[in-house]
Amino acid sequence: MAENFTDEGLDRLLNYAPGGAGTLDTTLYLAAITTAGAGPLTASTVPPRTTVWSTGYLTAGGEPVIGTGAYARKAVLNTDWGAAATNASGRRRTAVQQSFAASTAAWSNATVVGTALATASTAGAGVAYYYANFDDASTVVVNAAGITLQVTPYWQHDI
Amino acid sequence: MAAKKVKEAVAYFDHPEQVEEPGFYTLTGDTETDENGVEHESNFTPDSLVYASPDGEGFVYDKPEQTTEQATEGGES
Repeated sequence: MAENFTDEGLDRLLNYAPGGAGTLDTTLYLAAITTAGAGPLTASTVPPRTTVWSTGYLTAGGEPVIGTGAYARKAVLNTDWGAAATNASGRRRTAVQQSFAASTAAWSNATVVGTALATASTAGAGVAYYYANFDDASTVVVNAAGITLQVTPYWQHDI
Repeated sequence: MAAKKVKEAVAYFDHPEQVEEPGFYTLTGDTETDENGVEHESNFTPDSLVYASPDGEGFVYDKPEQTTEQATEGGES
């Protein structure tokens, strides 16, 4: 599995500190990334750090079309995140498990390999902070109605 | 008559601090543009509850009459 911060996400963080500017994100949005992303993406690859999410959510990320099969980005509130704790060579915060809405039909890009953590609910806006595959390097195929994608997001800064 | 489709952005909310009922919501709030020219939803909040369209494409304002069986899959990311 792979995970990485994005350049645009790090820019936004650096804008907060030491830049001292910007509006804090109290809600972030989980987006599915799929094998339709450039590469193509696999269970062990994520979009490159230089990806611009607002224009690359579909081409680089392979995000399913919002609205098809009831796919929508999942809101993650700041209070969903647990306390920071040491993990390996860094510090990590893990959120409570997040459930996307159950599908009502196949998603337009059905083979999910991980998620993006983005600032916007809207396709074509915002930045992605972080991309990650599933920890077990699995894929989840949302190719029919009644499938609920559940993920437990984390966010880690390594030293 | 076909149900009216939602044209605004929609996200899925289920946190009790934000919504009484888990579901799809349109959003309201201000946007900000950062130094790179990227537009951000600055603390958007859920607005109106909407529903997945029975035809599998988009969202509608009125609750459709339907039931679905659910399965669960997933992992950590």
